[in-house]
Amino acid sequence: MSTTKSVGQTPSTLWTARLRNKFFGGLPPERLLPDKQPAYVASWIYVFGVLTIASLLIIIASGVWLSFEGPLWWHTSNVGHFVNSIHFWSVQLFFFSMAIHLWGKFWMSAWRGGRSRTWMTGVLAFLASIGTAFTGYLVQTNFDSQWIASEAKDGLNSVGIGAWFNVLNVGQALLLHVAALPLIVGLITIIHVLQVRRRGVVPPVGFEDSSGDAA
Amino acid sequence: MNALVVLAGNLSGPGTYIKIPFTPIQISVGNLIVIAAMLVAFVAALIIPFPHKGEDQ
Repeated sequence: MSTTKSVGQTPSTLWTARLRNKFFGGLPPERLLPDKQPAYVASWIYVFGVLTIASLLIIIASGVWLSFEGPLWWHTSNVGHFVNSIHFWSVQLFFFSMAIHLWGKFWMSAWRGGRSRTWMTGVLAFLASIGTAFTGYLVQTNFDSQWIASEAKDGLNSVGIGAWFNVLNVGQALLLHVAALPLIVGLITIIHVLQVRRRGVVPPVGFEDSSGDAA
Repeated sequence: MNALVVLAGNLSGPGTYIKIPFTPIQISVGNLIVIAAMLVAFVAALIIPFPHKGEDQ
């Protein structure tokens, strides 16, 4: 008995071929980068998803800048204050638009028509974003971050995860904030957008056919 | 600049909080303003017509 398969024998059984077929089967180029959307997408409520992504891009760009310059720079120089403020207010706009995007999608039951993965990746992105913002507040290196850390310490200890996630450990919070969590948020966001492309924008309630697409 | 500072309040001092009587609910004015702005933006997004570029009459 041999389970070894030579290259080129049956290409469709190789993991690369299966992955390729699975990815491009559900996401052909015209669906991945469409130039047309259904008429019902012409509403301001659909703007807030892309506004969230735009905010995220500014957050990442300003965050990379801050990471190169360091706390002394963003606390003492004019440009540092400006970039620090851009980073902070982009986060406010990010959550502002993401919450409105969430409300819109919730009230239109956007998980209909096989779009549960789109909805759930949005939920995960929201949760990961909260963690990223929280660790961001912890690494401001000012009195505000000290206050938040000392208050959150008691809260996290009370639910039993204080030893694993110690908010008084600035090094841990900093690494989570600049490395692990942005990577997670970025990956989930990409998967979320790909799911939107794969299944399409959900039609209004009462205007979908049996497959969940617009009637 | 002074008008902006007045509008934002004294950001160096303690925050202003509103407490709903007979409930444990307490919220800062800043957070309340942001939540109100989100509700306004949500309703506006639903009722303001979206411009249609190149749409037929």
